[in-house]
Amino acid sequence: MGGSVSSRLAMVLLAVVVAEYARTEETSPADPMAAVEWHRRQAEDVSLPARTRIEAWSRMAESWVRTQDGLELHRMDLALAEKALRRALEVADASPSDLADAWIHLGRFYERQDRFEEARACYAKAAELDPSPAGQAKAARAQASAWLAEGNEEQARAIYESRGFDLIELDSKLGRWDRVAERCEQTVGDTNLDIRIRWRAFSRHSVWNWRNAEEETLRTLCDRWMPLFVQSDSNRPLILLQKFKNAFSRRPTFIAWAAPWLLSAPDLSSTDRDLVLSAQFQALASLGRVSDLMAAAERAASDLRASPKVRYRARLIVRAFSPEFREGSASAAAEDLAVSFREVKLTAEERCDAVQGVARALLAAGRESEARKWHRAAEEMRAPYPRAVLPCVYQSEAPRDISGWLASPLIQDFTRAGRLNRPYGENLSFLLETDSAVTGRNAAPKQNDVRAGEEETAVWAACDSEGIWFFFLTRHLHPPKKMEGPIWAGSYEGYLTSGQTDPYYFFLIEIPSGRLSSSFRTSYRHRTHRLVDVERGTLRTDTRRCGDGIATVLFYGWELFYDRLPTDGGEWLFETIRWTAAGGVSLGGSRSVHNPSHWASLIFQGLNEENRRAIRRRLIQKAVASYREMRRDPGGPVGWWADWDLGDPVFYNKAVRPLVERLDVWAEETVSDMSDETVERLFREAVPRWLEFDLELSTLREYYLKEMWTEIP
Amino acid sequence: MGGTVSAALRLGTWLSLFFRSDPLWVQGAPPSLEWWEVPALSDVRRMFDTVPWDGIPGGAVRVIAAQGEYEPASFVLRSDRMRENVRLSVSDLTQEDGHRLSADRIDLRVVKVWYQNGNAWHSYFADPGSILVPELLLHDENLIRVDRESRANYARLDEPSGPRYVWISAPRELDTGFDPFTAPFADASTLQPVTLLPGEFKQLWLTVQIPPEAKPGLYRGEIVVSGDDPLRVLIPLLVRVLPFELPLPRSYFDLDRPFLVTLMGAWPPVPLDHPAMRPILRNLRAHNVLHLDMACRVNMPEEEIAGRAALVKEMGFETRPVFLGWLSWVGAHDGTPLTFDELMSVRRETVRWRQLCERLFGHTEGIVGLGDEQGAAWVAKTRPIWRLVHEQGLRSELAGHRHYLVKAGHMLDVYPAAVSPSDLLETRPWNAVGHTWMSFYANQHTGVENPAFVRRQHGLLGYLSDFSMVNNYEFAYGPWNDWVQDLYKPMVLAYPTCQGLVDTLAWEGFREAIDDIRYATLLKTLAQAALRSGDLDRIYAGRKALLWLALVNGATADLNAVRLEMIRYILLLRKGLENGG
Repeated sequence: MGGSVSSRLAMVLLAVVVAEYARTEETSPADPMAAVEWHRRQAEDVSLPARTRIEAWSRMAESWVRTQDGLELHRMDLALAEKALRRALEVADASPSDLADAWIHLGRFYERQDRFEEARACYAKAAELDPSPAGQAKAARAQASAWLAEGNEEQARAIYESRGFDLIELDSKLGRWDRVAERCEQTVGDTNLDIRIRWRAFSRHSVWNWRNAEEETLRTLCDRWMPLFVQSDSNRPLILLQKFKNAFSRRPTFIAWAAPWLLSAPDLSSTDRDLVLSAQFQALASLGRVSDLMAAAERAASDLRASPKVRYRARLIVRAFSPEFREGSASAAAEDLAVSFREVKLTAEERCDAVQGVARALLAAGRESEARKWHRAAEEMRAPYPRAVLPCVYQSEAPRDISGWLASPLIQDFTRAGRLNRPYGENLSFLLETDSAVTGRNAAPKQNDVRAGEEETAVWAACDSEGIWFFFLTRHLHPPKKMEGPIWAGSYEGYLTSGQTDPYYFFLIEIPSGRLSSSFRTSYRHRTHRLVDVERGTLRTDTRRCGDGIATVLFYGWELFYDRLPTDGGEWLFETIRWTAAGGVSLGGSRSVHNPSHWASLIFQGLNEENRRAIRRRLIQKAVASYREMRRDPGGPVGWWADWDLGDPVFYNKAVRPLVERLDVWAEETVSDMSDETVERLFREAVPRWLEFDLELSTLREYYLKEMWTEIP
Repeated sequence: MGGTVSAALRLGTWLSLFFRSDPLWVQGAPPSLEWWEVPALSDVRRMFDTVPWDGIPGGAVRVIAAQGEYEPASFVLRSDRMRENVRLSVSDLTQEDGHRLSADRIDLRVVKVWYQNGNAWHSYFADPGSILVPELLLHDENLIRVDRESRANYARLDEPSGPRYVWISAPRELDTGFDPFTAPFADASTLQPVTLLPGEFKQLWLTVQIPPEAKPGLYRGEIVVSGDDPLRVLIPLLVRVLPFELPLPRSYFDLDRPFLVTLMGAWPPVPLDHPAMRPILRNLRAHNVLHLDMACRVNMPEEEIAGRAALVKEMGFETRPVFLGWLSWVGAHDGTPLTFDELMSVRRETVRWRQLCERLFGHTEGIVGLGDEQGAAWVAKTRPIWRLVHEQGLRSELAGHRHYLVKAGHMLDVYPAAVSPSDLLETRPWNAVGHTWMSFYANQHTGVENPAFVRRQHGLLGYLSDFSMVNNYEFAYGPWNDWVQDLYKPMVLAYPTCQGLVDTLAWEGFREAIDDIRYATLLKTLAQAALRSGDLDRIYAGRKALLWLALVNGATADLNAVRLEMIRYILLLRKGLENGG
């Protein structure tokens, strides 16, 4: 009976404690003002224990501080927070240790505001109130912390020493790593101490701090003591893992030394095991320790704790580094060993990575030609896209606008279309985060349910005597349901160049607004490169919705390429990427942006001599018009130098006038019925000088002035 | 203007020289070796088979430079036969009255053509392809071996056991790393003998350093090309020292506003006592990096911060204002408001920065950065931090996008903007507020090997668009392998070795960019003085100079001609000053 009553009483008491705990630990509101009131109710609830109410005043104070979040520091008003903390000091039935805690809360509040003297006064009061060893220690620690925060190491150290606090902790806080090292080694070497205490000191040695990168010290320490520590716990070498991954990840001597330690730890995760093994292979190869590498690889090849891809790589290494293999086929070896790897089917990517890993190890070992062989084998496994081809057919008059293109038979011929169906590479997130040069792609990494397959995009190319035309047509297979402001339809990004060593023109067209950006320049104007000029029409674009899709036309004038007109069958490079909310799809298969190696070939067709002459004829008209405009301009190269006051009449008469006279003679020949011979001659001799007239004069001016200042008397 | 008529008469000679196809030989030169004087800073990518159509066959190499200035010049050689061990040297240069410019002041180097990624010469993006491009300026052309069969670059390590070449152009997946700071890898200090392959063009480069105290006038000397055949060719070298020094650059829109010149990431990643540290810093300063970011953090050991400051002062970098480094990060990357504790930690840190700045430099005009390309909400919530920075007299820095204007246009002091150097509309509102140094970055970043492009972007284009700073991303210390990165190529302007830097064409272009701004600054300063003179002729002269400069189109003008025209106006204005007393 007594037992039953007492057990029931115990149950009731337990329930009360649990309920009380639940009440006080109930989550306060997230909103700081609401939290203030919530804590106030607790703090003023005299039915709660004093300790609980003191804590509540402290939390209320913290909530008051949070109400100031977002303000400038000088506008933050902490008066109400201080008031709450002072209310805690008045809690009637608080025990001395509870009150001491209240004083420490207030002290910490002052310390946060750098009011150190006031803080220390509070801690002194706490020490007065609570003479217990725990209370004294708590107050002393708080005092030391305040001294440290104020930058007074001497006072802080005096407290630590007098109270017997952990000096390693203090020296670590102060960054006195040499002292930390000394103290730790003293403790580690004290054979009278429990092994756990010695291990703790070992693990707090300064070599483990992230700022310290002294490999030699770390290795010496471990070589000396780790054998002892693993006797009681074989996972202790895992302490090396952070240094392995971070500080010394590029030091082969460290990696080769640390790997066996780490591999001996039973709790090394499978991911980390793979990392350690891979790094070990590479390190041993770079150190020229081939026999050690072979031994490590052989062990790894049958280590079931390693992943299949690492075991596969290990087997490849054993094969590749064996003396009898040197002239063997990397591809055959890779295939052969993959087949024998029956228990798990490796993905193509895993096999490729493993083969690359072998190539890397061979290169680190100084075996370049073999490394190249294995690298080639890996590249062949990737099966890159064949280069895409976009034909650009000469037309006597290409469609000049969207309506013209939509009505043109050209776009009925899908054999001449380029399909944007090659997914963009894997670095889109990083690109969008970091490419400050170009915003406005309106792209996002693949997400939600929107897939690139929801639309299809094709591009056609044609040229005529004016220039090169591109027509893009995107058709939505399922029109987007969600509209957020303007319909988000992405953009086209693209590049056009007349040759791999020539500058390329960049474009970015926002869809559906049609806003064009071409401001990313790969060259400025010079003798062999011209800037696009939207106002003068050498770059034009237009975009509009049509039916179930969006149509865009893009034009580049031949003036930009007059000195490198394509021939029939000539190949330029062109790429375009369709950016959407689902990522990107491209014509050429770009793995990254501005990647000429992956651009499509733009093949010109129909550019027989007659058609090329038509282009030249048109260019003559444009060039002479440009020259005449410059010539007429009072501020242009002629008007300026001829000016008796602002210019240089001597230079004008000697250099400018003869050139202008010659160019004017040629200009007179530009009639509508120029003979073919005249066209060829004027194109060859006059067009460059007309179009580059100002640059010609600049060069002459440069020589003139240089000669003046370096003439030999 | 002295010499105008005779110069004009000679112009006809220039024109005919420009168009003639046979070379002009100096006495004793065998016809099998030709040379052309070519523009040093040119968009022309000079390869083994690039005929120097823009050069003067057999022309004298001519340099026109101010006192204290570094100025480049270039020429191209071609031999019709294989010639090994060809030696080039420069004689002392002398004036008619005997004043001498020592040959030590002339650094002669080979322009090395090597493989870079498929975007070489044009952009900073990565590409797995490889093409040949001229880039490196080497004293020892064999420091880098280029294998045209395997399309690979190799670096020579001079190990105690003998030279060894390592492959430094491996694909990214293969690259095993090459640490140029620790490997026994360094260029020679003077030009070593070169090899001329039959029929191939080889470009040579001179950088002339004019002493500040050099007597103005024309100096003559020659470049001696000699070899074992026997071979002895003398290429005339003419150096005109101008009668003035260049001032530090100032902004185009406000001559009272210093123009800051720095590059992100330029502090060398080696210990203070590394043998390469001082040579690198000297090189940066010589290439017109005027304000070097010390890249410090407040929790660095004090001796490290003090050591960096001492080097900044010793090497002659500008120290007012001074780029100190970075504030410690606090808070979230979004608009989550900053807390009391976070701001208190910032205040403590800014107090410490101010104390350091005062102690090390004697003022509080230290620039501290926080964040990079942050969103609008973050910018707004960070204002309390910038206020704390300003309360200590320090300056705030943040690189990023256009929305900074409407969120922090009143608080950002140093703003590298993700815009193009031609974006005049971007600079106007910032300059209207008036306290911000603004530069472009990213369009383009560094990495382009074309020196003319680098010159224009970092020079007059941005200057005339009213930017007040150059602070592009970045000055990367390698790697030497152009293929190791995925999205961007290494943005290298000069390549590190264990003893310093190997210069490049682009790096010379950078220096000339800032020199262009310094010339323009001098022109404007003299023009302003002329405007204040009260003399109508001088006033008109000043206005003419300013008018001419205002009409220069930074995007299209021939910068070589612009430079010379600036010099002409400067000489005219100086003459006016002297005559006016």
